[in-house]
Amino acid sequence: MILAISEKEFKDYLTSRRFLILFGFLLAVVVLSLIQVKLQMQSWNVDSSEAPKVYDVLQGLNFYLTAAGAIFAISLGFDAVTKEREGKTLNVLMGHPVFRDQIILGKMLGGAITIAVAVLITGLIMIGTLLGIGITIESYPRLLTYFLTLYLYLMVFFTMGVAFSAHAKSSGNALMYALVVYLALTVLLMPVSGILAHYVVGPQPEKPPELKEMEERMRAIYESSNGNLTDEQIQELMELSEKMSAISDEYYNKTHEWMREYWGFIEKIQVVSPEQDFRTISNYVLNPHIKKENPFDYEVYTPEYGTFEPPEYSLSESLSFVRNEFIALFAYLVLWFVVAYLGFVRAEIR
Amino acid sequence: MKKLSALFIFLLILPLAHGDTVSVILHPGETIIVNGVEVTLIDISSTGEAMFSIDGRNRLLTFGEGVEIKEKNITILLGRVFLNEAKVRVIIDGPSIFVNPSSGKLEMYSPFPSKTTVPLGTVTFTVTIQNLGSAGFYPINVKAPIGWDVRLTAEGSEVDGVYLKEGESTTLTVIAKVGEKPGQYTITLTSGGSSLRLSVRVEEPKLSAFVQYPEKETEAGETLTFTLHLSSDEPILVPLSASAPEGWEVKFLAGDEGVRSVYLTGDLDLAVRVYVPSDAPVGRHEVRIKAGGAEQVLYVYVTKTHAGENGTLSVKVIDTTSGSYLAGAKVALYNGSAEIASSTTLSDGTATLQAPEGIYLLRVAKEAYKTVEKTVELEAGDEKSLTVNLMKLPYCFSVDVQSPSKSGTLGETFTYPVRIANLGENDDSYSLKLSVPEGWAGLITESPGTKQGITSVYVEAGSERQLYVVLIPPNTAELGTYESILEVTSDNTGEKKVFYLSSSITGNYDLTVSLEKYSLTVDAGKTATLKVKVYNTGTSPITNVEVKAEAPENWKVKITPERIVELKKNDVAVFNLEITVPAKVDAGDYVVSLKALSDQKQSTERIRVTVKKGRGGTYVGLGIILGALIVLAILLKKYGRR
Repeated sequence: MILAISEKEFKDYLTSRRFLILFGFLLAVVVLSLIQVKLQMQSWNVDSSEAPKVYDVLQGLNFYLTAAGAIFAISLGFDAVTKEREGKTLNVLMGHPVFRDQIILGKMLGGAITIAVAVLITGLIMIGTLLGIGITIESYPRLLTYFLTLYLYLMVFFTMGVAFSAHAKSSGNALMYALVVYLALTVLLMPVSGILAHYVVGPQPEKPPELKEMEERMRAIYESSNGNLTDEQIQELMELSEKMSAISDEYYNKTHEWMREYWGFIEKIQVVSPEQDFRTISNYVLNPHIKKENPFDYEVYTPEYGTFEPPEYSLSESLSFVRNEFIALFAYLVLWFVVAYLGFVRAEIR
Repeated sequence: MKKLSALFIFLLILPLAHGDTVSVILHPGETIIVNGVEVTLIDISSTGEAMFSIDGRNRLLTFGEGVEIKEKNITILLGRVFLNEAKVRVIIDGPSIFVNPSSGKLEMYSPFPSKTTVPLGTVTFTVTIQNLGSAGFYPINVKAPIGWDVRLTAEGSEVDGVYLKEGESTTLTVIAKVGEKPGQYTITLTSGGSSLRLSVRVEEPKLSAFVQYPEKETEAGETLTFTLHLSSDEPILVPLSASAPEGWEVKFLAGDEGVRSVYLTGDLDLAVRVYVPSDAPVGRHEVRIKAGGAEQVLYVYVTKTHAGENGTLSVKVIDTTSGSYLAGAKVALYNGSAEIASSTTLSDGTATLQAPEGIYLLRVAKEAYKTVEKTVELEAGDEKSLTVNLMKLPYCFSVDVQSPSKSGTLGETFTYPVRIANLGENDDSYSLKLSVPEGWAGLITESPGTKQGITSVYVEAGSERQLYVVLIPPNTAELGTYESILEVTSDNTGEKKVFYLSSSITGNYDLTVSLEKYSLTVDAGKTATLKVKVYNTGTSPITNVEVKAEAPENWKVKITPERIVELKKNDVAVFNLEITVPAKVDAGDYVVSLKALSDQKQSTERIRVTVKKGRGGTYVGLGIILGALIVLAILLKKYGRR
């Protein structure tokens, strides 16, 4: 029975103009941003004789993909229940010997299949475009993981849409709630996390006044000398810098510690944002060379110091770096599923 | 006498008589009778005309001109005129000509027609002339040896003829001043068809010359005096001469004065001074002295010579204005234009010069002073001293161009510091004129930084001004050396100083790399070719031009030719590049940098090489996209129908 409903839902989705428009829009975003990236590449990598990597290219794409994908997923889910209710078809459906959970599960499954098809097509077109513009795909498993993550991400917003649809009185309300939550989790989260971090970690340590004083003194000596330093001035400058180094070392250590805590806290809060989660996961999944650390302890690989090879991590290692983000996405999925399920099952249908 | 001369003329013309045409030679004063017509040659002018008296009428004839006497049917023509010999040829034309010498109307005689005298002496003859013919003026022609002065005088005056009535006679005096050569001479007087010969004998008088000490000793450079004793029986003019070795000087002295001849009457002692030059060699030298016909040999024995020694000249230079000694003046001796010796005066104003014996021009010069020139004679081994006064000039200036010759590369500006010092007594201003090569810009400035030119400068007396000549060559100037001319002219005196400023433009080196393409697209494992052009954009040739490529690891770059030995100005060298991309390389953009090297300059260019993984990747990509669209279409077809 669930399969029959899901098949019917799948058919409905495929035939709906909204799906076609938004899916087309999604594909257009993917293809056009890849082409744009390709064109930018001409000027990008002139100095390093390296071809751009998949992760470089998709990093740029993710910015558009997360926004377009989320709206696409919400658009599939926000009227899943309200549409039936508004069209009075739910009553007709209820007249059939089906359980309510079967209906909601069927709708969910239908949406899931639709999104799967969309991700499949998107994925194929993305791979095709990457190859077409001459980018070497080094690891298909990583790319596959990326698409699965994309699927997971889209499913979070789809179930969110269905959840609001199950609770809202009208489709319009459901869409509005869904968009508000989406914006809250993406746009609003940034300033909020900053404010929270400030209260939790405390303000940035101030520069010690004696350090400031010594810097002033140094500048004064340089300015008065007009470029010709006397021996006494050089002597004084050397003494000053010696004194300064101890104080400033301590100051900079403190600042560094503070920054580590501050940005660490913000990163923890950012886990709440599915969009941020997706970006973080795709970053680690696609790029085998980066390691999860505090943001200030990245091992920075610069091509100029070409002798040292960048570290390379296996896919499972890379995945382990983003365990929290995966858990967050799954948690959202389960949360919205449960909310949708309960909302529909408990709803009064007249 | 009369008959004798008539016979002489007759003999001369006889062969010509009785012909149709007769030619007769006539001397002035001679007369012939032609068919009864009297023809007398009166005189010959220095222009070749002859005055005749024909039939009592005077006629002036030139060569070829004639007189026709109709009643006698004859024509008298003037032929050649022998000016040197004082005679003419007369040509007489007619059917029957008969020439008679003149019968001679005058008779001349002298009671003592033969006399003797000394060379350059004078003789006097008395000549009586009697007119046997008709009354008239008879010119008298005198013939005497060359160099003699013979005059006819009467009543205290010089005359050239006589007027005598028929039968009358008169007396003339002939005064002859003879030449210096002894011998027998004749003076001939001709007039009125007759002539008179006077004989003069010129004889040397008896003269004796005697020197008591004919050989003397001396040092070279000294003067000796001999005494010449002359005596003659008759009064005589004795010419004096001497021959001595070259450079020697012999003088005959009467008192303090030098004499060339002496009029001797009786005995006379004459001093002969012999100057022996300082370079005369040691030994016996001969001096011959001649007094008239007498000759005497003197000997001088030189005991010491100064040959080869320099003469010394010490000069003291004094400033006329201040009266003080002048240091730093240049003192030099010139022989013609060649400088023989030069020196500079010391603080006491003195300078000493040494030069071989000779006559020199001494020039004393100092800047701002008027140059003084004097002729000085230096003798070997001799020392001379001289004081010279120098006068300061009212206007004088010096211009100092520290380095008139500079070199620089094309595009640089040439700056020549010039210092003008006013050395005169007065303030002065100077006009500045600068001539630059064509296309160049040039100006005179007061400081090298400004671009404001000046054309004149005012300098106070005793001070100086620093100026700069700035020359700017055009960018298109050829390499080479150029000359500019700076003229500084004093406004007060017009004195001009000219300086030649030489600017040598040397080349600069530059090269430019130009690529056929700045980006290449190549499939992995394939080879791309590219032409690299290296231009010599400098002005001088560059050598050993080569191109080096820096490509990513494992790439192969082949460059031909390896090296070009020389690249001239504006020339281009083309290098062919073959870039081979290894098969195992990621698709993408790579940079190959190309370095054009030469001994002088280098230049770098970069090309971007886009590596493609063959067309395979693209087709696979397009296939996948197509596949995806097909899947979508199938799904839509299967489920899309209501």
